[in-house]
Amino acid sequence: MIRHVGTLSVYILASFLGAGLFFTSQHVQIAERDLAHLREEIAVKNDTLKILRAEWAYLNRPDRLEGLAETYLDMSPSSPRQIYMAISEIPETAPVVTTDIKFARDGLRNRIVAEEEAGKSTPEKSAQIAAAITPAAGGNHNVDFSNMLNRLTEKKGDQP
Amino acid sequence: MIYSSGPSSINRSTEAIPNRLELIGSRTSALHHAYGRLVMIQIFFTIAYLALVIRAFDLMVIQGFLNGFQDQGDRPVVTTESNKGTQRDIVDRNGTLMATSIKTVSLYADPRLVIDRENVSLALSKIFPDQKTNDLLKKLLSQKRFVWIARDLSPEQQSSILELGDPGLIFENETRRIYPQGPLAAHAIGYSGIDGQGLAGLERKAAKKLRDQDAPLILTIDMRLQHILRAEIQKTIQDFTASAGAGLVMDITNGDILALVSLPDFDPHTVGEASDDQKFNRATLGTYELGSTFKIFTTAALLEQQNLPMKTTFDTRTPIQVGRFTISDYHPENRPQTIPEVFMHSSNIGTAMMAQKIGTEGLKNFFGDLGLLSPMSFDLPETGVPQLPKPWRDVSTLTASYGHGIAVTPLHMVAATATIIGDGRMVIPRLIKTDEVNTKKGDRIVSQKTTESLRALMRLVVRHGTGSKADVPGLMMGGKTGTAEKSINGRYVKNALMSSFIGAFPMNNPKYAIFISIDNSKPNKSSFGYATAGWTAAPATARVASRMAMLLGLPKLTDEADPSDSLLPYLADYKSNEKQQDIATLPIASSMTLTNKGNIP
Repeated sequence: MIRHVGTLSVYILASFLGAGLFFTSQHVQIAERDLAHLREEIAVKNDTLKILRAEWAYLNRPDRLEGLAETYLDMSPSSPRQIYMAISEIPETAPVVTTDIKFARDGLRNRIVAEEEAGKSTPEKSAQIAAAITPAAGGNHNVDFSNMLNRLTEKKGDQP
Repeated sequence: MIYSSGPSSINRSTEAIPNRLELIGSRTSALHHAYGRLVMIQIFFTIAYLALVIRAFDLMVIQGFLNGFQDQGDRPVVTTESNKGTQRDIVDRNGTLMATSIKTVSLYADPRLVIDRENVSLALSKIFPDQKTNDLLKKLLSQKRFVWIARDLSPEQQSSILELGDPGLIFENETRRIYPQGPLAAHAIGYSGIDGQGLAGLERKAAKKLRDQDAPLILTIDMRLQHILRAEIQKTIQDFTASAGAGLVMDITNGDILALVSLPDFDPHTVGEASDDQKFNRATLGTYELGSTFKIFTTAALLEQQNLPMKTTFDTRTPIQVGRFTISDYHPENRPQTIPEVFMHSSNIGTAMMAQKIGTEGLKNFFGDLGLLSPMSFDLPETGVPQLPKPWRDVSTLTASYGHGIAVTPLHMVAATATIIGDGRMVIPRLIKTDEVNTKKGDRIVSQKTTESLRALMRLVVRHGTGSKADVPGLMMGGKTGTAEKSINGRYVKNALMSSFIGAFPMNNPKYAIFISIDNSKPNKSSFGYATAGWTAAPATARVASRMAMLLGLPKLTDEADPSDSLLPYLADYKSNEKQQDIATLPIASSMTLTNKGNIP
């Protein structure tokens, strides 16, 4: 009888070990699958990052920025006459500006309204300024990027 | 069965044995054994079946959930070596992206697997409006197992094709080279073919360096300066209805090329549509007779080899006659001129006389030392071979002294000038940024004294001479104009001008060299009928320098002494000679002869 108990306990032990092995192997499989998923995700994210970097560089082309600055900012290229010292001589700590950006926008809006009422500004100009100060005016950028992609995909007759 | 037969026979054989208890015991024990074994077998099989059930559950339910009930075969294969076989990024010196590879999807078809060819080709022609239904149908009816439908699909196109759900339409992942800056630095970066092989520019030269690496290739180009130079040359071309232009900006201290422009240029994405004229790199491949800018080298040779004082005079009153050649000045000064005057008024006669003093061997050796007689070693495959007089006669020495009968690339001009006004040691131009702390410096070509003299002379040209329109207050600009008549089909054409300006600043310790050449400039109203370098390339250089200075935050140098002050005593009447025009040309008749002998096409 004691022998049987021994055999039985071996079986029980074996089945416990088997179950343990089963769960371990499950865990490993799950972990491997997660790893593969993560790797895949990283690869996809890296590819996306590359595209976004390309888009960032594309949208920051100097000629485009120059065009935007000309359209939206009342500024002109500076000349060396305007510089009286080296850039490095400008102190590190700039004067603290306490105006909240929201108020600044309101201020600009009020100015536009005032100018319009005084008949100084044209509607097109106020629309331009309004577009410039509206946060995340976006839209245009995506058009630009899909233009780039379209241009890339325009190639015809690439059959080898 | 075992119970009835087995144990009964045992009973019969053991009946003779008196000890019944033992018999019974052994009988029960046998039964127990049998029963025990059965239980063990039962347990074994139960566990085994249980394991099977669990495994089946695992395979059917757990794995199914984990995989999202998808076919494993469709999942993209993820490799850690995703950069194998793709070209690495190219960035400018500030890290601005100039070229990158992105993954795209292309579509091909296996015509045998396509189910409904008519409808599929109809649907495809709607997705790709540039392809006709008939052509697509022809492709799908072909006997091949592989036909390209379209390459580099947009995500929208890909999803509409997936919606068609035809098994014969198959996607393939490809990489595509993208140049976010478009045509801005097209000649420096070059371009690649559809399969990623570099065909021109850095893409070709650094093809090996570009492969299988993660870190981007860093150039010496500064995208912002590149834009400024390109925009100003473009503007000058438009203002003077010129046909082409080229320009270079170099850091004299280490040979870094900060900007390299050749116009007209092209969009590297659609290079197939660009003409040869657009693809031609005028800055490093094109060789030109650059005219009076060569007087920098002749004057430097004179000062270096003869050690003459600045007050030495040259009698420029009568044109030089050598055989059938006549060398004359555009604006003759009817008196002997000192070295600064010859340089400032850009006198051909005076410079030719300098060359006579130096001698043919002396001038050739000096040009050779400056690297003007051989192709430049450079990081681009497009490097031009200088065109030299063959044979080099004494008269070739005279004409070469003011830049005629010898054609070099703008890159030669910039590097040689940088050598002379830098620190006198050979400047080696480069386009790929290297981390070397001690930049490789070449041999000493000219002495410190000659360097300082040439700095003063070039400053003088901008202060009082032919290059006065290149002056930018506060930047201490220096330079030299050059206007050459172009030879077309072996003849110099009076109104086809190649005007160029080589400038540098700040002249008391030059840091940047700027070269601009304008091809075929024509006079406009604002230039009072002039289309020479002083009116075209010089003002453009001033605008470039001014914008550069703003961008790079260069200090205003009001307190520094002007290096050209030391030369003022040698000028007879510099005030009355301000704003002279510079034209360094031979009279037509002699030019033609020169061309025939000089072997310049």
